Amino acid sequence: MNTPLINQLPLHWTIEQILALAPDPNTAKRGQGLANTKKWLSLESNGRAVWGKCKSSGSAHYETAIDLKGPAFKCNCPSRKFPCKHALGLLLISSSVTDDFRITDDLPEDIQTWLQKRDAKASPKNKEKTEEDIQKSNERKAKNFDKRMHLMQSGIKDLNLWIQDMIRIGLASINSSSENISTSKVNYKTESNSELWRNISMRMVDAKLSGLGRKIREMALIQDSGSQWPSQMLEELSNLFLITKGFDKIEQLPSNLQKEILSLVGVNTPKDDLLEQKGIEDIWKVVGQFEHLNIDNAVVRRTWFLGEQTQKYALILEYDYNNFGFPFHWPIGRIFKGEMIYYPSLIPLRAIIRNHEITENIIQEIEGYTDISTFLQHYKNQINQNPWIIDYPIALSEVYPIYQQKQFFIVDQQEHALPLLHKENNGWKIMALSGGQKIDIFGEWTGEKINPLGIVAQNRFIAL
Amino acid sequence: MNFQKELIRIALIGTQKAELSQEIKQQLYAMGLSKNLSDEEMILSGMSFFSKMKKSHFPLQKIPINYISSATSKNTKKVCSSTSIKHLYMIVDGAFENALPEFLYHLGKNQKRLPPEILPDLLEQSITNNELWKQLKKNIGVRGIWLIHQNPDWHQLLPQQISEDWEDASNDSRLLIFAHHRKENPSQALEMLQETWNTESLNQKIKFLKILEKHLDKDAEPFLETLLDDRRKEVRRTAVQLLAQIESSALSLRIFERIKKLITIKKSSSKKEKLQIQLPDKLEDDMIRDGIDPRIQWFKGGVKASRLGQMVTLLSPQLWNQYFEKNAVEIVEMFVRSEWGELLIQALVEATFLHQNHEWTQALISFKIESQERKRWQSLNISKLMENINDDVFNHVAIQGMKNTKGLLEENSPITLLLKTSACLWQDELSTLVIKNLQEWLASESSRYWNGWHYRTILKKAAYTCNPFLHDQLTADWPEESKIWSSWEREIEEFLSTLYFRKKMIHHLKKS
Repeated sequence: MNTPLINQLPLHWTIEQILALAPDPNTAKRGQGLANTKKWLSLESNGRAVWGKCKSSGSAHYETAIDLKGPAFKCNCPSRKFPCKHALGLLLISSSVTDDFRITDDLPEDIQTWLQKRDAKASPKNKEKTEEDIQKSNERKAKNFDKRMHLMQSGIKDLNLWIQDMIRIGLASINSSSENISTSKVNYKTESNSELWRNISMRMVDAKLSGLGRKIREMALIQDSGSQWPSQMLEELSNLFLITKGFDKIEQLPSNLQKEILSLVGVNTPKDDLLEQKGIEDIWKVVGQFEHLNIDNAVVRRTWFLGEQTQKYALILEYDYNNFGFPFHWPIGRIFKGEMIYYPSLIPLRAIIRNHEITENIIQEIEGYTDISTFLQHYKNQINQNPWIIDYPIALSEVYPIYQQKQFFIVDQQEHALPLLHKENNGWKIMALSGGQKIDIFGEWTGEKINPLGIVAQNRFIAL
Repeated sequence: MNFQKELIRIALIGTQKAELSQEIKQQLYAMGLSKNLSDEEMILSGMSFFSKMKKSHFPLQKIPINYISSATSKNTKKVCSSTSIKHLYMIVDGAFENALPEFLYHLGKNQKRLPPEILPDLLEQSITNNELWKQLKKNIGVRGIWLIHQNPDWHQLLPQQISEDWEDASNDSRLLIFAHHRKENPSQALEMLQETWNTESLNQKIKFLKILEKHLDKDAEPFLETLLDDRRKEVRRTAVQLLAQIESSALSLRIFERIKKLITIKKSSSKKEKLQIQLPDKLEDDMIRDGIDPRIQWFKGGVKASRLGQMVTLLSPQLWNQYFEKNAVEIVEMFVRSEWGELLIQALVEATFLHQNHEWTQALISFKIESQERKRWQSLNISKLMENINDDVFNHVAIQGMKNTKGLLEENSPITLLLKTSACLWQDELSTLVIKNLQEWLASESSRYWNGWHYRTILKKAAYTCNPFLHDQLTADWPEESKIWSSWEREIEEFLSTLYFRKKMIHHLKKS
C-alpha cells in the first residue's frame, strides 16, 4: 500500500449516507465487501477526487474514480449498476480509512479529462461570441422555431378536433373495438382501443408535441383505473382541450404563459440556454424525493429543494431511461450550497442547479404553514395563475397525523384536516414517528391529497 | 341536478346521442362561456372550469384533536444510532435479513430501542412471524405499544385478556386461562381442568395436555395416571408421553423394572461386556396400559422387538447410566455390540429426543459421525437430535468431527448435515477448522473436479453463525491464485461481507 500522506479527505459522508447511494441492497452489500484496503492495488487522491485500482477475479483490475465534488462516479467494470460496488467500496474507504490514500497531483489522463469535462459542463459557457455569431445563432433558432410552430399548430388543430369527436361519439364507445373516429381532416381508423390512443399519440409526436403525446399515452390507462374512470377521463380531456385553446392564441398571451404552454406541449428550454442565465444562490435543503416509472418505463426522479434564505422551492426533475442510474445523488435531508436556475414558467419550480456543493449540515426543521387554510388560500392563488399545476410543494409545521376510518390525515391546531395519500406503510411510519406529538411534514399536494415525502419529528428529519 | 355528473353523463353517451339540457347550458353561460360554442366545447370548457374549482376550493374537513392520545410516558432507552438504523434498514430490505435476531439481541443488551419509523414494517411482519414478535416485543418500548393500539390490525399482538369465566369461556379462551393459571398457580389449574375434563372434546383434551407438557411437574402425575384408562387412544398415548417425562414417575419405574428383566449385562471372558437381551414374550394388560402397542411394528425384527423398542423409547436415558453405572458413550458401545443394536440405538435416539438429554445427544451424534462409513448404521436417523442440539454439544461434536475429517466433508456426512441445519453459534475453533478445510480444498488440485455445493450452503450458514469478530482472521489465506477461485469468489466475498456487516452492526450498537 502507498505511503500515507493525508489524514483527512474533504469528504464528510457517513456510512449510511454512502450506502443510501447504492442502487439496490445487494450492491450496497457488495460495496461494503470492497471497503477493505486489501482489495485495492492502489488508492490515490488529489483532494478533489479519489481513484484506485480494484482487484478483480481474473488477472485484470478495475479502475474506479470518484469526483468528491458531486459525488460522481466512474468505473470501467462491466456492471450496469450505478454507482457500482467498486465505487461504493472506494467511497466507503475514503470516508473512513483515509491514511491509505496517496496524495498526488499526477492524475491519470482519463480521470483528468473526465474531471475537466465535468467542470466544463457545470460552469456557464464562457466562450466569447461575436455579435455576428449571436445574430446568426438567433436567426437559426427563430427559423427552426417557426418551422416547428407551423407543425405544432397543425397537430394542435387535429388534437382539438379529436377531443371534440371523442365527446361527440361518447366516452363509453372508446371500449368498442372497431369504432371509426373521423374528423373533418384526419381519419383515425381504429382497430382496437389501444390503437385509438397510439394513433393520436403518434400524431402528436410527429407534430413535435411530445409532451402531449406522452400525456395521451398515460390517458389510455385511465379506463382500467376503476369505476371513476369517466370523470377522470373527462377531466384529462378538458385539460388537454384547455391547452389546445391556449395554444391557438399563444401569440396574444404574456411571455411566461406562452412558455408554460410550450413546456406543457413538449417544447423545453435547452439546458445550455438556462445555464447562460443567472440563478438564485442559496443554501438548499433536500426536503423530499419521489421516484416513479413513467409511461415510457423510464424512472422519473423528482427532488425537492427548499432555499434557506429565499424560502423558495425548486424541483429537479431527472429521467433514467435505461436503468443506468442518475448522474447525481441528492441525499434527502442533506443541505447543499448552489445556484438554482429556474425554467421559465408562470410559477417557477422546475430548475437545474449549478456549482453545487454538499455541506456537512442536515435538516433539523422544516418551516411550513401552521394553518392549513392559509396554505389552501396560497394554493388557490397559484391555481388561478397556472391551472395546469399538478403536484405542488406543501410544508406544514406543528401538525398531527391521525388515523380515522381507514384514512390518514394531517390535522393542524385549528382542527383542519388534509388527507394523506396511502402509500405502503408511510401513514403508519408517520404515526410511529409522531407518537401522538406534533410534527413538521413536507410533501406534494395533488389537489386532493398530500403525498408525504419527509417529516421532522423530535428534531430528526426522516425521508419517506 | 348535479352539474358535474350531468356533464360526465353526456360525455359518456356522446353528444350525437344526447343533448345538453337548457338548464345546464344556462349554468355554463352564467360561468362566462360563449353562446357560440358547440355542445362538445361547452362540456370540455365546463369540465375544465369545474376541475379548476375543485382544486382551488378544496373542502376542508374538521377533525377534533383533543382526543389524540400520545405515547406520553418517556422511554428510558435511547434510540439506536443513525448508523445502526441504516444497518437495520439493510437487514429489513433483505441484504442481511438473517441478522435481524442478532440485531434485536444486541439492541436489547445495550439498552437501546428501535427507531420508531421501522416499527410499522416489523409489526406487520410479526403478524405472521411469531418468532420475530417474541424478540421484537422486548424492544419496541412505549412508542411501539402505543402504535399497536392505533392500528386494529395489530391488536392481535397485544396480550390477550384472560377471562375469569373458566366454564363459559370459548374454547380458545379456556386454553389461555389454563395456560395462565398453570403458570401462576399450577395445582389450582389442574383442579379446574379435572372438574371439566369429562365434558371436553377430544381435540380440546389434547390441546390441554400439550399445555400441561410445557409446565410439567410431579403434581400432574395422579391426574395423568387416570388418563391411562381413558377410552380414547390419542389421550392415552399423550398421557404416556407426559408421564414418561416426569422424573421417577410410577410409569417410568414400571417400564424400567420390565426392561431390567429383559436387558442384562452378560459377563464374558473377553474384556468387553456384552448385553444379554430377551424379547418380551407375553404382553400383559398393564404393559398395554403403559402405552406399549401390541400390534405396532416399527422396528426391524417383528412385534416382539418392537415392544422392547417402545419401552426403551419411553425410558429416560439417564436411567441407563444408573442401571449400568456407565456413561452414555460406554452404554452406546454396548448397545451397538448387541444383537438388537440397530433397534436399540434408534430407540435411544427417540428417548433422548423425548427427554432432551444433552449427554446422550452428544454420544449419539458422535456415534453417528464416527460410524457413517459403516453400512449397518446408514439408516440410523438422528435428524431430530440435530434440530434440538444445544450450543455446547453442537460445538463439541462438530469440532471433533472436523478434527477427524481427512480432506473434504462429504455431502451426505452427518457433520455436513449438522453444519448445514443447526442454528447453533459456532465457537471460534470450529469456525477456523471449517474455513481452513475449505481453503485447503480450494488450493488443492482435486477442487477442479468437484463443485462443492454443500460448502456453499455451509458458507451461507457460517456467515451468521461464526463470531463476526473473527472477520480479519478469516479474511486471510484464501487461495486467490486457485484455478477455480473465480467460481467461488462471490460466495466467499458474501460470507466475508456478512461477517464484516455483523461486526460493524454489533460495534455500533455497543457505542453510546
